Amino acid sequence: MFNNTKIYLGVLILLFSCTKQLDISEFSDDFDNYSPELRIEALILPADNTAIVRVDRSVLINDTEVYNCKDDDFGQISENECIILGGTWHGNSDDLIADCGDWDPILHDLGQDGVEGDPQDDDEDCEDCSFTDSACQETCREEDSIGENNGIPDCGEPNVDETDEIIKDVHINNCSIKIINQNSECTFVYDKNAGSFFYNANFGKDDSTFIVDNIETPNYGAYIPSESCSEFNWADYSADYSFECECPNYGTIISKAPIQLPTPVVFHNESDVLSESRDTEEFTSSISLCLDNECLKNYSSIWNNDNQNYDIMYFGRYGFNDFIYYSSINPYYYYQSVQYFYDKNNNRYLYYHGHPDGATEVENIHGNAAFMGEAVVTDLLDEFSDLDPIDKYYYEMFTFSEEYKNYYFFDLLDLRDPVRSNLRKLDESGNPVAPIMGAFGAMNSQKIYFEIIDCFQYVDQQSCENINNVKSVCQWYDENNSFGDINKNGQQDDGENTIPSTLFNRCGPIKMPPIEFIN
Amino acid sequence: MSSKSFIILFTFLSYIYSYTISGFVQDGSNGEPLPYTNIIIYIDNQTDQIPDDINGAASDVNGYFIIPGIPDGNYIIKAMVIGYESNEQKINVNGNLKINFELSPTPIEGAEVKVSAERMRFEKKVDISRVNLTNRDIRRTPAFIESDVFRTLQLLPSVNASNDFNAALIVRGGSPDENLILLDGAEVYNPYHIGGIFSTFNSDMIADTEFLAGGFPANYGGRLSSVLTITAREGDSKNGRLQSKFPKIAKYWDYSQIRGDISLLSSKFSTEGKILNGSWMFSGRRTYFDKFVDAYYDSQNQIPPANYYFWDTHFKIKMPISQNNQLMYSQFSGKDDLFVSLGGEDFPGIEFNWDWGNATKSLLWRYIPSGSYIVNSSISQTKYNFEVAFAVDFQVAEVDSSETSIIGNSTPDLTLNIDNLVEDYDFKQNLKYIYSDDLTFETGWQIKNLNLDYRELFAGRETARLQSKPKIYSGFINTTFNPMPLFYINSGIRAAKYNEYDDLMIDPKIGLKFNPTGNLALKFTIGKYSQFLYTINQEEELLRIVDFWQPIPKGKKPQQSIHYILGSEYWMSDGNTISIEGYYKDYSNIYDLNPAIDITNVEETIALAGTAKSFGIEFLYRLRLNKFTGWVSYAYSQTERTVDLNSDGYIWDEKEKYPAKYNKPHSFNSVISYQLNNKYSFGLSCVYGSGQTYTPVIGKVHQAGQQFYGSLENPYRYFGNIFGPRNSGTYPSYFRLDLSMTRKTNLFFLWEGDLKFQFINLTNHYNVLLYNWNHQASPSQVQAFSMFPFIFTIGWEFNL
Repeated sequence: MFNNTKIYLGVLILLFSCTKQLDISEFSDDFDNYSPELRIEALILPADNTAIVRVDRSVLINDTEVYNCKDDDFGQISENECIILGGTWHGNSDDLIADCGDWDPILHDLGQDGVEGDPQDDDEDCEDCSFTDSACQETCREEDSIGENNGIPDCGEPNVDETDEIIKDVHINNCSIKIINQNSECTFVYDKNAGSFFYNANFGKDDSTFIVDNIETPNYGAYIPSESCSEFNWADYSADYSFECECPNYGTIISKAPIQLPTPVVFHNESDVLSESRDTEEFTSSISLCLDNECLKNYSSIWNNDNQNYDIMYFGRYGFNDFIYYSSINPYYYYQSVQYFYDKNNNRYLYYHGHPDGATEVENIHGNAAFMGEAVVTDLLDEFSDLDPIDKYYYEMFTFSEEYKNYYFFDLLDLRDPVRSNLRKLDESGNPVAPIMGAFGAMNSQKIYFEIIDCFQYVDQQSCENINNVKSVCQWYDENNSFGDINKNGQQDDGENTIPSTLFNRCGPIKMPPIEFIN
Repeated sequence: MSSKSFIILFTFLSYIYSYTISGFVQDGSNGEPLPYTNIIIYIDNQTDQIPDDINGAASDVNGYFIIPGIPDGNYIIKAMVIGYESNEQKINVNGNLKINFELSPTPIEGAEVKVSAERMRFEKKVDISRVNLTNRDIRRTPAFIESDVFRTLQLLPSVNASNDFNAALIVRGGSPDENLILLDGAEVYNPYHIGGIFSTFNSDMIADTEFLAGGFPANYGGRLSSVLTITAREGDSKNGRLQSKFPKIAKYWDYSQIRGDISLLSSKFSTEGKILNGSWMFSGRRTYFDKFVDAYYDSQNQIPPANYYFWDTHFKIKMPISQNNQLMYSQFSGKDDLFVSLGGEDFPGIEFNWDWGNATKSLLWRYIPSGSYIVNSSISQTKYNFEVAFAVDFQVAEVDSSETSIIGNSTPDLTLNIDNLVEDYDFKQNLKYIYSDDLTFETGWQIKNLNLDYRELFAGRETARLQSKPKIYSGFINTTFNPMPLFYINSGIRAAKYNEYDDLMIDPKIGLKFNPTGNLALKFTIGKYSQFLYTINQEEELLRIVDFWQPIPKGKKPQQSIHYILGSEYWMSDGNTISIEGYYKDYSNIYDLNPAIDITNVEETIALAGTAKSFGIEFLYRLRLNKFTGWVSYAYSQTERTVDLNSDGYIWDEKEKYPAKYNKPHSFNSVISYQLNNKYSFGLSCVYGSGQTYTPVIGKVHQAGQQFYGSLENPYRYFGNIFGPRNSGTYPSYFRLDLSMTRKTNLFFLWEGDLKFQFINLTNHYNVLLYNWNHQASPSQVQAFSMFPFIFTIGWEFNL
């Protein structure tokens, strides 16, 4: 609730405080007695009709192996293998095998500070320069920093100890895992490519240049349902699911109580919510009586019964106050909204951003349902230097089972808090005792695709009013119907604040924003 | 007739045939009241010697005194206070008398003052844990850039600060929201400037600060730990400058002094004078750091990435309507503005605007119907407003046209706004009745109407709202009784009704004092206290820019504490006392911010109730030795809280029963002022104490959580801390030595003033504020952030 403010409090501290690097041995009393333990994220994903279980170990503060200052994405292999994989081989001519990764000696040999030159004077040679000797001061910061241009990967350099390199060391791959759904059970197998995540790799000297090809999707190892689970029902909303796991050296872990699957959200068009014949209150009072998603879908004009999916939504570029509306059934009122954009070069969607959300009693919850709106940035994404501005996206809205909600949303509680985690280790007598970090739960999701239409590209009234072009989100503005009639406060205004008529006769979004003029 | 009846009859007859002498004591040089002046009366023995058999009283904070029970006869009445020439009058008492004194300042600290007000308090008052600080005490204490009342209070043994960046008062283990802070009778809810580094109270406008660290009487209520009463100066009504040139104007309005103060942080201005037969005072200050920042970035043709300023003003007017009626109006306004701009170009720009401000207005009517009664009636309003605007500017739409261009300036509305309003309308009245020198009654009532409104809006939509209008009705009775020589009892009871809770809260208090010898006082107090509001600030916060006030949830029991305080005070000589106090505080229903709020039901789940206990012992030596004044203190304290943080009905010892964040077992303070001569004075403060607690990091693991951006989509994005037992670690001991030097100057032979040099953290001791772990390395790395390093500041205070 108040997290944003804390960021800026931190800024104030930085203004007045001094920092000092400490020797971690000063804290050995705190961590000496700690032993690595398990963190399990076991998730049923009904929308994908599957499940995944990530079993990892925690790491000691004084561990010296996980971050090894090497570039070894592909491990230690021969030079030929490395070349085939497209990696950079870091061995000498007489080495049979050596680290193979994606560190580039031309782009990435920046030294431990990760930036070109030595702006922070890490080698402290600027102290020998007089304050008035600007040439000396400049030189000592422009020279190579520690490890820079030494031809080998160093700690702190781009592409060294990337996430996908280090997580291999924390995965636990020898556990026996099963999820039980009343009378049937599914056993899991470890797969080193069980899941993937988006990652902005290949960091170069000029880190301001983003190219979409640099976005990688490295895999991580986890447990996935074995082939024998093909008939297992991962989307039985009436069933109870439970979890069991046995890991050598860590013991047996179970879920303390069975879980149930969350239902996904239902999307709505703005016209469902607010139209000439209906106001928001009427809509919310209708959905408030719903008891299931089928009922909610009755109030969605974008739900397509034929293909059992949602129609694509369209928004006019620069449209004002556009939202993607969605609803969900009690008690699934916590959400994660994740936006993806379309990479047409590679015909794939890539992760853009995500954020948690929740329905509040004051604003969103109406009877047995919650009604939410996700603000849409009605513009083309043009951050990437190698892509035309992007106009296609989708949002994926996640809902959570109670248990995974507790784990993800109650993150101010300790990781081993018995409310945050529903996983319990069994003692020798088979009784559940200590909570284990993580959770067993379910995340459901629903996608909605949308496109941004640039109305201004249509220069004549005919093309502007062609429904195939503008999908009902643009309109032709003439002298009788001009967007200049909207004043700076977004109010209709026929007075002196309106646009001169010479600016009219053009195509614009129906929901034109308030405007101001520049000459 | 029983002996009991005889005593009652005797007392009654004595009262009937005796009279009351009352009046005001003022500073003859400017007309301001002189609090704590000692007024003694004795039979006129036709000699210059003051007999041993004297009667007397000390003036209150308004300079008013009452001496009851004087039989008819001829007397000498004398007003004495250190720093002023004594004033005596021969009087014939044959009825109630009103006598006003005007005392002239003297550079010689009155050797003739045999019985100081402090001595009078020592002998007769039952107060425990009380400290009074004058404007001079505050200004003499070395301080970071500006002298500050909160920072001075934090040098007392009963008060702690959590760090250099946080001015919040932690009194005997109580959280900062447990302190009742009154400015001219109006309650102040968020008394901090610049991220909590300073309090909002400009030391120039303070006449007196009374601080009760515990066991406070029934007159005060609604808080669990302490009471801080700040009384603003009334202004100089004597030395008008218009009298000679514009006597007709000066008859109605005049000004007497204009003062300025320039420091590295801010400029201050104050002026005062007379109005009709009363006085007025105005003071204001503003920081100008923002102007330097603006000028710098203007010269670079850039927009500043961040800026900050604050201002505050205080206005007070006193208007005697008649000899028995006085009106006093006090108004304080302050505002802080913080602006931060981040990002831009390839990253969405983020703009952050943060405004907050306090405003208090109070009107006091003092009515003195007879010499034995004082009736104070007041109405006050406090308004605290806090607004945060957090905007993400993805882009500005531009469309070219052959004739001109237009800009769509509001493309996506992705703003987060947080508004918090606290309004307090307070009506109160109290009556003080002095029956005799040995028996005093005080009673009163209070009606408090609050309006608390917390609101979050995202993209123009309201996402959270906590709105309430609590009403608190309370009344009290308090008596001070001296049933036998050397033994005093102060007892009282306060009853309060909170409209969101069914039961009436009854809070009794009793204080006992016994003087086994003339110079030794033993004291004991037990008191019960209730609080109906709390703040939902997180315990871990390092800075306390603002307090988020909330009422106790509907139907939930108010916060309560019971104070047990045992103390003794030894009078060595005037100005030299040694006191030792031990205390135990037992808290129930203390409310904290719930770390697992159910956002679908924020109102019901925002707070968690817990318990706490706090105990400690404090030693204080207040000294005045020749040209040295100040104090030396040591305190030992422990505070433990028990809160069911996850609301599962069980207490998890490792995480839910823990030392408080601000638990600092040992604390040594010394504050010494030295007046070398008329030109130079020095101040030194030294603090050495235990470091604050923290929760140690014992391991690291990949984890998901809503506060870790992207951790759900990428389960290996955040490699975060595994924590050990809550608050089981302790930062290294805190040490800070500050020195100040003041030199009187006469700039250009025109402006008299003081040049002030302040050396903060003279030894540059590295006091740790926090540890920050970097787990993207093997082994992990840890960085310490410090509190204030060595800082030198200079300021110039002048009179125009």
